[in-house]
Amino acid sequence: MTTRRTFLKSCAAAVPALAWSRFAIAGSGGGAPRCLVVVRLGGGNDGLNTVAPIEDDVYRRLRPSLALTKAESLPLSRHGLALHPRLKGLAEHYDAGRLAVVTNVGYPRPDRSHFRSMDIWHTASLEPERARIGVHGATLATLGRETSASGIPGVALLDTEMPLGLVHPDVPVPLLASLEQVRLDEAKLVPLLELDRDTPAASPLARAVGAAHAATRLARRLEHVDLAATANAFPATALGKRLATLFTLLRSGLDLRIAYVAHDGFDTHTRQKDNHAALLLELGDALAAFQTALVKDGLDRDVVTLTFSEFGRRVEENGSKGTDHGAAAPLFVLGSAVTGGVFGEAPNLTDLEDGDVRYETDFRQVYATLLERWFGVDSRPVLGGSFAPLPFLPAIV
Amino acid sequence: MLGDATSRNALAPRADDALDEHAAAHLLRRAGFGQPRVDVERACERGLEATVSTLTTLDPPCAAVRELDAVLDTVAAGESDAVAAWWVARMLRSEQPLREKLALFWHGHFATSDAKVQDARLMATQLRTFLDLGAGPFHALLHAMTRDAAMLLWLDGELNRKDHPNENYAREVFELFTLGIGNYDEQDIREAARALTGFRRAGGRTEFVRAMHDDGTKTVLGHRGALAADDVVTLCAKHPATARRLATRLLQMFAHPSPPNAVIDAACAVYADAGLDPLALLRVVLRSEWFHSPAVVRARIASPVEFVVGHLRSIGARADASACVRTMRDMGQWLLRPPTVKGWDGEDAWLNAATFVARADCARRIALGDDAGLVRGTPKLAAEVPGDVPTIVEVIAMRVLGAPLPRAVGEAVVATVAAIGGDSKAAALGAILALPEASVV
Repeated sequence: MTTRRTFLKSCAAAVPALAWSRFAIAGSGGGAPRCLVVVRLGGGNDGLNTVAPIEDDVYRRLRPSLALTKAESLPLSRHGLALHPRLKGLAEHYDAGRLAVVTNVGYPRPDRSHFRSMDIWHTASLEPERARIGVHGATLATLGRETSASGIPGVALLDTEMPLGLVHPDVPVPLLASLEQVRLDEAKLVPLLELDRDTPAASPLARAVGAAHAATRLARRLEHVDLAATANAFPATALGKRLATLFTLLRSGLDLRIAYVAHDGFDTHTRQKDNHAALLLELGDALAAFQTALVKDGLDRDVVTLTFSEFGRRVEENGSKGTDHGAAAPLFVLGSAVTGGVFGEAPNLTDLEDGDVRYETDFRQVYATLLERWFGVDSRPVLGGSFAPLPFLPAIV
Repeated sequence: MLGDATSRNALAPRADDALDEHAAAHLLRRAGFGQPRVDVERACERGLEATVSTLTTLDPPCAAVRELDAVLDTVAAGESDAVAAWWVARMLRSEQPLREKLALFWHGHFATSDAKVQDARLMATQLRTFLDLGAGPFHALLHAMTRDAAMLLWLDGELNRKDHPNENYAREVFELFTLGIGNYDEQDIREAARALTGFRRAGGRTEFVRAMHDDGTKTVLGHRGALAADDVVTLCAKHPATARRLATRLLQMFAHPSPPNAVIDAACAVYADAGLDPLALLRVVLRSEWFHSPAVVRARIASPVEFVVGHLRSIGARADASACVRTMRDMGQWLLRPPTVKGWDGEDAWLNAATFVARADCARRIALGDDAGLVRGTPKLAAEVPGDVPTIVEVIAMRVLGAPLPRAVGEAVVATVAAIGGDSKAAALGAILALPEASVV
């Protein structure tokens, strides 16, 4: 029987993934492997107040206390859309042509459960319970273990749990709240923890051995990294610190291919206005600082950053000056290799699906674009189908 | 019911009542925390049936209630860690650890975090409900959770009012607490939210305010009428999908992360017949042939709570419960602060480079001591073990892991003990607790 996993493996073998990715690297003009940074806006980011249809009467009517005004928001080049005023940092990168805004991203029959919808995004599957493999983990598996000379092709920088998106049985990646956390107190344990076991790969002991190996690899790799050096170029917020840590790792030469960072708290059912503004301020300023630091160190052509959330929020505000779970929403792709601009139409608020914005761009098209045009691999085996790439990255020729 | 007898066979009792050291240790690790020497010996003497009967017969929790009242008098609102420490101290010394383990199960099931509640006293009150009702029928527990003050804050129950329904609690009752996805639709959630209106907090208690309640007609799970909270609780608790979902989750916590369908069917039948009483289910599971089969032994990744409390109990150490709470947090399980309402994913999700380092660091601190004072004095085990280094390693491995180490691993531990130097018993204990084997339960 062909399981999803063996299918992936056979495809990875059939398509010369390594050759593709080398080609992609050559195309980038530099020697460094390309890295994708994924920023999760957990909780369901209110897309309509992130990229607001400020000239839409329906928007203003359904959101009497929450609608942004034209005067305060930051206009985008077309469609009567504008960024939330607190996304000033991102607006500067938009003006410099480094920010793509993809509108109305979602999927058919939207699920309004945080967990299921997040699983759908994480697995790139509309039946996530059948495929407990993460889309980013599958991407790393397709690139192959040898894609990262350090043996650490991916990392999750957050303080809760390993996101499903990074889960793949063949490519375990570490989860870090901070780099201090991976210094072993007793260094003499390292050789003991590097031992192999003769045990079936799927057994819990094998997984524990895998974690021990990941721990020692990282401990050895980080022995000489200066943690404090870059911190002051970033905002002192939680996300700012995470991105500073990530920047330190990248600048130290760790050849990460996918880094996953969480910026949660977007479940704004009540008193949304100030909470959402603070969350977006933290997002915009941290991403802007990260991009500026990459440009300054000449790493910017090798890194793109994607934001996503499990869903947007309902068009009509609720009785608690907040918004409930919705459906399609915009997302951002940031990077010097990105073709800037708005991709997609303004949300159509006169044709809603159960009170929510209908999707126009399938989220798997965004993944397909990154797989095909950033990593230079065939997206079909990873996504389990064919999805048309979007023009926010140039096609590899 | 046709097929009932066959399906129950999947949990047929083990033919042999005798327990050897390995089987006794497995039973104790799963029904409680760790494998204290004296408990292993007693279980071997008394056999399977008598041991399971003792493990699953719990005194009323009245002492815990009084104790917690005293703790609450001294706890400030921001100190949920103090409440967690009180709980960990109970786990460490309890002679009926199943009560604590079931409370841990329900804490992960009705996962409520002080990150949002921000009132340690309300978190303590919820914990007391888990200790109080967690070993009894589910209906009473769900009824209590629907009125629980921490839960009202956590899932916006207070904001759920007539004319301004907030679906947060209703959605999670269906999706996570009872039926599970696929057994209801969005309409059920909307109507159930209306039925659940009318609760608000008054001090640490909850009161029902008729004027805030929507007494109109609703349809939930096919039942129509002027439904109220108790109707939703009853409809959800008695739904067959709930019995199946909870029985499966109990099997995952106490036996195997992915139990075979035949076992789930059998467990579901036992659990449903017993009015969703977890002790009735566990009595059958813990005695079953399946539970004692090689497929189930060491089939789980120890959660941080199981890792810390289990090992400390196994080695007979006196520990500082507050330091335990912090080290569990570093391993990814911050008690009374689960990451989301889904609780901790558990199993594979417990282990990664960073959390493994936290486990190895904890092992070192348990064995060799540290400034934070995780362990006080010398663990009983280290004082008892005699002999040369290879013998020490062998004995400690058996006491801590309940199984001998593979030869190559044993030799590597001996070499590590020499490299670390100092007290070889302490070094051997630290090295063994840091092994991947020590994270499997």
